[in-house]
Amino acid sequence: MREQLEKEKEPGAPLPEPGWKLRLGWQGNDYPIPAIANRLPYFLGGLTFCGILIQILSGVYLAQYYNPDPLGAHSSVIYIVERAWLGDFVRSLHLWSANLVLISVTLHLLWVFWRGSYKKPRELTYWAGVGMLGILFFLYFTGTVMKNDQEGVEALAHSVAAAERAGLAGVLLTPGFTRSTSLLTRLYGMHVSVLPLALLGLLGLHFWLIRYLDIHTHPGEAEGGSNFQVHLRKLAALGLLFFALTALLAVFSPAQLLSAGVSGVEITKPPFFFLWIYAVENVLGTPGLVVVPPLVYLLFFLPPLLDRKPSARPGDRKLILGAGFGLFLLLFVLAVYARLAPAQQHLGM
Amino acid sequence: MKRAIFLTFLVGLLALPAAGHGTSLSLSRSQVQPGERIKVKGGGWGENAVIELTLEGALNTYPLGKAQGNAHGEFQAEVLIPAEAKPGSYTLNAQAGTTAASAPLRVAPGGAPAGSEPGAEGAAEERASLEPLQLDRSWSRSETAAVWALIVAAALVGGLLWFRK
Repeated sequence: MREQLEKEKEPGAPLPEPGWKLRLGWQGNDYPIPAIANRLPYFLGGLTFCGILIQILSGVYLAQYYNPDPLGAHSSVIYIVERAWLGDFVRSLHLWSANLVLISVTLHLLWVFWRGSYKKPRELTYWAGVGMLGILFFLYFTGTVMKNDQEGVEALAHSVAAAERAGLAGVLLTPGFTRSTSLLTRLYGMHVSVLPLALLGLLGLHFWLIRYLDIHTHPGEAEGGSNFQVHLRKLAALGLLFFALTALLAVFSPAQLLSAGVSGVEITKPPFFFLWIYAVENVLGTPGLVVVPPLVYLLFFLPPLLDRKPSARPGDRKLILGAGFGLFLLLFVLAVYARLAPAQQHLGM
Repeated sequence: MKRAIFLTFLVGLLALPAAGHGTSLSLSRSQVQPGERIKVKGGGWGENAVIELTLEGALNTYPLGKAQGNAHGEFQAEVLIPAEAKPGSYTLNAQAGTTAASAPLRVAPGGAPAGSEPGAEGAAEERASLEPLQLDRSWSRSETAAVWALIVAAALVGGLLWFRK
């Protein structure tokens, strides 16, 4: 800080009063970045972060009203919508930002994959990102369950069936793990503490590695040309516009709630991001639910191990790009099939 | 001066728990089913006080009747939990004038064991439905103003920041 002040003052003049920029360490963001980093696809990760911030703030507000007791959960959601000040809006904002976060993080992953930004020495940056992807999906699942409406009850029943089949690996997600509290209450605990903490830890690692290793560029793309402060200003702008869009969606398409869940009935389908799993269940039954999703998730970790050629140019990586985008297309087709197919009984309840 | 204000504040805080000292309310059980009876008793309510009892949930409040206190400020009553009370977490409130106390009470669905898993809220006779609930989504003026102020402010500041040189 003293060096910074010495740099700013006139020779011989007394040290100037440190301003807010110095106090906040804003000068630490004054370093060059490639000009291409200010193109829209490079903001997808930052936008995901903005969405996570909206999630945290709206989630803290909802937590003041939500009751994680299985007997009171659904009523408390109705209370949030009908009686809590701004409750309906904040709940819808929470849901819409969760949807947009999953969209932006998926697009971010596809962009990183296309650019080959997972290659040496950025393997850990990539794996931290894949870790966060898994946590974000688990957060979405636990959020769905917490409504305790028909959709939530069925989602939990499927997850319990899979966890019970998974043996020791799934024991935490079974009601039998403990009788001292309900599974819904434990999932709520994960939703508001364990998962966000893990997410923020990985986020910190991800950001630090990007700062340390710099933004990935292909040969021939200019190394400098812009500044990280400019990037942050543009990200703040996009983040605010992202919030405005999310809020508009919350106003014009508020989050729905089904009636209190009835056990032993299967009439709902999962949200779009989980529909491909529903399709797998249609074909393979509950055993497929135990094996396929973890396997697909593990595939996301493989690119840095399988694609070890130095070149990151798409033209030099046709095989892995074909396999990756083929898998993505398959998941999308499965989701569309599940959306169109009639609802099925999977659990034999 | 600042120290005096701080000390006064601290003493005030310490005195707070003493304000309702002596008033008690207890229930014979912590969980009941709709249509069942539960015993309520209390003490420190003032001489011959008439205590009004209510069952308050997230969505409904049910009057449970009045209890007559004795000369020692004690009362004992047996109240009926309304059959229409939905399963959930409730508070049993007792009030006599400015004196009030409350105790938590769970209303469990008929036949459901304590700590039952999700799905318990939907009574067995209820039919599962895909139709979204028709909730009262009307907003107050302050809510509408706050939401639109947030949206407009976010869009304006975002636009200005994006185009700033």
